[in-house]
Amino acid sequence: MLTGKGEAATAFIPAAALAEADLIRAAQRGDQAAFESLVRTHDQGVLRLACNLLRSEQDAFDIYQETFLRVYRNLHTFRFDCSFRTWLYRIVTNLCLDHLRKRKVRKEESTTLCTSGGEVDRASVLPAENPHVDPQRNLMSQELRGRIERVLDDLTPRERLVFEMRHFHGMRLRAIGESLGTTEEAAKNCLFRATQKMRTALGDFL
Amino acid sequence: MTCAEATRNIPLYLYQELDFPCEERLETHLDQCPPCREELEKQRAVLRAVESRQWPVDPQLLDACRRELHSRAASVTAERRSLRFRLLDWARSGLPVMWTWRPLAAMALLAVGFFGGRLFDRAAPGFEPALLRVRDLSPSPGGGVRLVLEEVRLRTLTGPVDDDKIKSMLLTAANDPANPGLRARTLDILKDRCRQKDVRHALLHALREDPNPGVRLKAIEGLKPFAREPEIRSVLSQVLLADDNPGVRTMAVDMLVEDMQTEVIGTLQELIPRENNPYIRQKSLNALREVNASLETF
Repeated sequence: MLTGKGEAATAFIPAAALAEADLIRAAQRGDQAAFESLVRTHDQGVLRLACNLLRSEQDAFDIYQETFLRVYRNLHTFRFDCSFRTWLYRIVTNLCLDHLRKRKVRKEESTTLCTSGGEVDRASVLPAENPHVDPQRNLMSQELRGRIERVLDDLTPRERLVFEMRHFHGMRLRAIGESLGTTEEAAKNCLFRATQKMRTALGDFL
Repeated sequence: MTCAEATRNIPLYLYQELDFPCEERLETHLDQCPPCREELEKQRAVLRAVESRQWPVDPQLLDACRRELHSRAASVTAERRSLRFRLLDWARSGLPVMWTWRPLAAMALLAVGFFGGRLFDRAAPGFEPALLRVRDLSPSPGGGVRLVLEEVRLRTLTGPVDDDKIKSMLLTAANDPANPGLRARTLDILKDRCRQKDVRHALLHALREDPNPGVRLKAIEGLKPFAREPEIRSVLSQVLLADDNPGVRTMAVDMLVEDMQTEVIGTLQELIPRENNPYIRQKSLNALREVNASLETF
């Protein structure tokens, strides 16, 4: 019975994946429209990941360009031995990791965010609390947001990346491991360490 | 399972990353262990709190990213082409056999020019008066003037649309940058031949790139019978999201939802928050409802 189920699962290829495979093949043949369709399918996720990780619109813009230009230049090397999303995230995660590591070395992390409208406080871009609730609660939630920002900054680049991909992008740990060129077990450990750090920093507050 | 093991497994449990036996053991342990149940709730609350700090993507930033990528990708393509041409030139210059070709090719061109010119003169009824442009002038002996003229002759060519030469001229006219009326009339003639690959490419190109909405409408009209084909649908999706003319977008949405396929769902979800045309909006909402898809992206 189990074998039967397994076979059925292997034979099933979602229609969307088939359409994507066609798009990739067309883009590999040089079809510009197909490439742009591929970009539009995945670019919001890529930009969101870069924005969340780097907390700077300019840096996220640069990562977006570099990621998709690498895809454009190297799409002919894609052999369908993993999903396109995994392949794409391998590129974007490597770029983000490099960027985060450089930033750590330069100690660039600050409590402000670079946006098109200039620098703003990180906590202020997070969803605002209802102004009608009592001021003490607002103060508490501001303190909470500050703590969240600090604990995220304290995560190592790899922990932060794994956490972002699992928590906000809903990627499975196996796929995250593939994207980062590591094992599922290593991704699990990263996620565990990240959640423990958050638990320690925020647990007494909630 | 011990409490230490349970604590280690709780985050994976919350992310549904535990295998079935491990999940069973953890749930059994949680049933019997109030402190671990409390720990589970605590960790759940922590993750829920972190949920609120996701930074939303600014649609203007996304748009700027897409436009910049479009132009950078075009530069990469141009670089590749120029490299290809340089390689071809290099290959040509490196092949001595080509030297034997060149005088022959030059003579052949001269012969074609000479005999073609004679034929041209005899076929005078087919010609309109020449358009002239003075390119240079200088005084000539005897008080006269010497003019250097550039002649553009108008020529009438008549024949069936499927004739190779006529079709090639039509495909050129479909791209004439100076005359949108000519482009629209050309596409009107070509649109019945959309089955042919080169014609289809011309229509797709016009639909994506032509600055004139009348021309784009002609192009999309011609593509209508092929709206089920993936290549056409992919361009229709882009047009639906990017074209600034509501008439073109209306045709695109009609063609896409007539044969609702899964790949359209994302396009419609992306479109709805920013679409201000009530017909296109309603059509997209109805199509998503029909397939029980959510009405927006999250």
